[in-house]
Amino acid sequence: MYWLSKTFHHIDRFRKRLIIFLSVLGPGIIVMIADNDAGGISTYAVTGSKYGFSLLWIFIILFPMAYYVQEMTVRLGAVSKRGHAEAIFEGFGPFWGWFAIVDMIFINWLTLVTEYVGMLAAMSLFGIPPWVTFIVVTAILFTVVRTGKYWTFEKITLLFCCFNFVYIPAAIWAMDTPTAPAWNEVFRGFYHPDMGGFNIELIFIILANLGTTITPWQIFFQQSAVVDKGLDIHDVSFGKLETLAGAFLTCLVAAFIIIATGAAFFYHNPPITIQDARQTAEAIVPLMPIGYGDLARKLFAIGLFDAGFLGALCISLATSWATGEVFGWAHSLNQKVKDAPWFYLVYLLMLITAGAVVLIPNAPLVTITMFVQVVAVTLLPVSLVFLLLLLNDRAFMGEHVNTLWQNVMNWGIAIFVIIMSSLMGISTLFPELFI
Amino acid sequence: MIADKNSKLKVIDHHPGFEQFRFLFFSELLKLPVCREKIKNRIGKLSDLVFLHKEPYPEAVGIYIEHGWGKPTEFIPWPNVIKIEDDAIFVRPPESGDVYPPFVDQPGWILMDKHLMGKTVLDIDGRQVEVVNDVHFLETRGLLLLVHVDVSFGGFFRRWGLGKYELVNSNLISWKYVQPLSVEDAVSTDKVTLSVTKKQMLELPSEDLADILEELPGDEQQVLFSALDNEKAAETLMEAEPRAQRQIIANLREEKARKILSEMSTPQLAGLFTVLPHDDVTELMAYLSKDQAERVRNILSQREISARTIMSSDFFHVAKTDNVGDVLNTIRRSGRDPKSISYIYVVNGDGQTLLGVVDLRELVLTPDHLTMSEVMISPVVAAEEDDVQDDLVEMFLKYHYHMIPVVDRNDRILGVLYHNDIDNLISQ
Repeated sequence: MYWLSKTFHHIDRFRKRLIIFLSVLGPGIIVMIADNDAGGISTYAVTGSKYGFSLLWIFIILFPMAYYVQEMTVRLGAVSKRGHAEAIFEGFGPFWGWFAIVDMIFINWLTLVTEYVGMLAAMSLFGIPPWVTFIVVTAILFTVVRTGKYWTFEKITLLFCCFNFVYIPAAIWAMDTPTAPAWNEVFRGFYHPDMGGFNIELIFIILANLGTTITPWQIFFQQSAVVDKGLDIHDVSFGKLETLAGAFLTCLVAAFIIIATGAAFFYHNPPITIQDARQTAEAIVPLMPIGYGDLARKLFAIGLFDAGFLGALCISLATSWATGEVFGWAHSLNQKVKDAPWFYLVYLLMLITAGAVVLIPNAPLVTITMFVQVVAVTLLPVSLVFLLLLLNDRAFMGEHVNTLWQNVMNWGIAIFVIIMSSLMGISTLFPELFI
Repeated sequence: MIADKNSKLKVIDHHPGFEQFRFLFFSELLKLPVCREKIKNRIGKLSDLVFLHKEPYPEAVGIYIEHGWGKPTEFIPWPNVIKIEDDAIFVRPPESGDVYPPFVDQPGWILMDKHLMGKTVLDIDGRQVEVVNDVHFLETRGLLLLVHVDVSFGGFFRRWGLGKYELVNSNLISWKYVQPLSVEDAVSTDKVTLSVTKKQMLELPSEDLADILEELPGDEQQVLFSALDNEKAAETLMEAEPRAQRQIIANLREEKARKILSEMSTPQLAGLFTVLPHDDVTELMAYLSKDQAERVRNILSQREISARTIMSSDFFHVAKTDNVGDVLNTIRRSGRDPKSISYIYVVNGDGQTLLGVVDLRELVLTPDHLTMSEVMISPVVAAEEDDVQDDLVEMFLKYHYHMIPVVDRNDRILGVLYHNDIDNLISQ
């Protein structure tokens, strides 16, 4: 009988822990899923169409990288109760504070433009004119945050996150096409990839994948979300677990996008090269068996729209949180529009200006998309170094400073990112070195 | 008091036997030319009106005139004012010299434009934060009294010269219920608190004060919070939202922080500390006694908090053979915190085994000669020392008691749990 009561006790304990975990769940999953934003989907689609399954192995590296970097924001937020912008001001003074925030607003705005490009393109596949999408989407994006409760925002956003998984069935259908290789080719991509030579284009593609998986806005977003949600040191372990789950999901979805586009385009005879996500959706139609083609196209469009939507939501929020922290304005989703006017105004302004740029005929959108990725990757090292220095500050973190292992991993990541982005910088300036 | 019939500054003088009086808005007086006896002898424009704080209504003490261009300011004492007309204010010449002496701020003085117009005040009656758009004066017997502030947009329009259209109705709040929140010293740049802290404000429930604090920007939050006495400040702090709590703590001076912390129980401190940044916690921990800091740290380090960690030793117990009259006398002389005597625990002589409990209200109504064992309720609802917070919350929800005793395996009473301590730990 003793073991019976013991088992009941364990089940009960597990049930309690599960409830706590579910209540903590949110920021990590959202930030990670939103990480597969419109730009990300394009990047993965291009990767798949150019390299087939041979770059799938990078997710084995990107998964721990995403986890280790984002996990630090959970601890920093829960222990210091400050958003990232506030923490930089506190830790490094106003110069670096302003540097970080101005950078962040700039990149966020540019990224937001790419999200609108993605959303408008996705909806145009359904025949909806861009300006209608712009107005409706912006209105919905504002409605999601203005409920005056962080909780409502989080649950609505988690619902939107589910749509990100449409790429999994899309990939399974794509693997059904006659020219697609068998599934064991997919697994080969993880353990025995055949990438061809090492050249500048490969670096660029790897860097682009890296740049969409770890971004400065994610660091800002998750930390502010953790603070706004009111997580404390007791919740850190669950927050880490949730971030781990999020990192796994984002890599899973990304891998499936590559599988889908690889199967459909790279292994097609002749191979089809695509430039962005919208083309993917259009090019996929004729390849699919009757009936499936249109469905796959729609799934891709829905996925792309959802990715842009989540990205836009999180990026604008990250910006309003950070500006609120720096200027001392009320900045919480738990406050109504009346009580935190600036917070919601910044949010809305970011959305409207970025969306309006996309509506301008002949705006240099391709250049902006390229520029975003380059700038984001070059600024990432700075953000990472700030984060690492803060996480090693005992006055700030107390007993929650980075452990030796965490430091080894994270400094490794930071150095890797620095090397990769320097390579990229050098290659852009002196292309002849790598040919 | 002479004013012509078409004046917009109305004079009410109907009933014989009543004093002549009229109401004026500050916006009507601001920038009005000030002249020495005749309209030709213009001194300057009224830059501000100076009032002396008095109960119930502050009285005007003078007119403040700025000339700009680096010229010295002038201060015209109120007794020198002859009359206020539509187009000018007429004053007597200074007693000596050609110009009035420059303005020097004094304690207890309030400047209308500088300290009130456009500033936030607390409406103690309505328990709301408002912005002063105009100030309403009563002029009578040569005195000018500050009687109301106008928080409507009407005052706002009047400030911009649109008063004559009467676009909206005024919303006047009696000065009795107005608590100014931030006052800048007119001369120096330091912010100082106005010495006006109304008694009614200190009597507002701490829940309302917390709501008000959450709405205020940093400086004003600080001014209002520093006006509260330590006990009220501690209660208000615990009622406030985490964000406001962090802001208040960040701006607190050490001395005040020590006093406020000493008003709080260990579980309450732990509840507060979980929402504070780590560096602030380190600082505040240093203000606690070593023993208390240890207990707080103990609570903070656990995910599941047991009854033993948060129980208080502040409870009242008597032997079962004591009679009611003696017990009541002991309580009266004990000088205990009222909340700790809502229940009296009855124990047996030797090992403090908990036998029963008596509600204080019950006790008061019972004849003096009965013994405690005759009036006590038994068995007692008690928590085991190892019960964790979820069990405790459930227990409080189920029985609706303010306090519940904590016992060990042998039913010996170890301490008590207070409902609001549990509340504080759960709400985080």
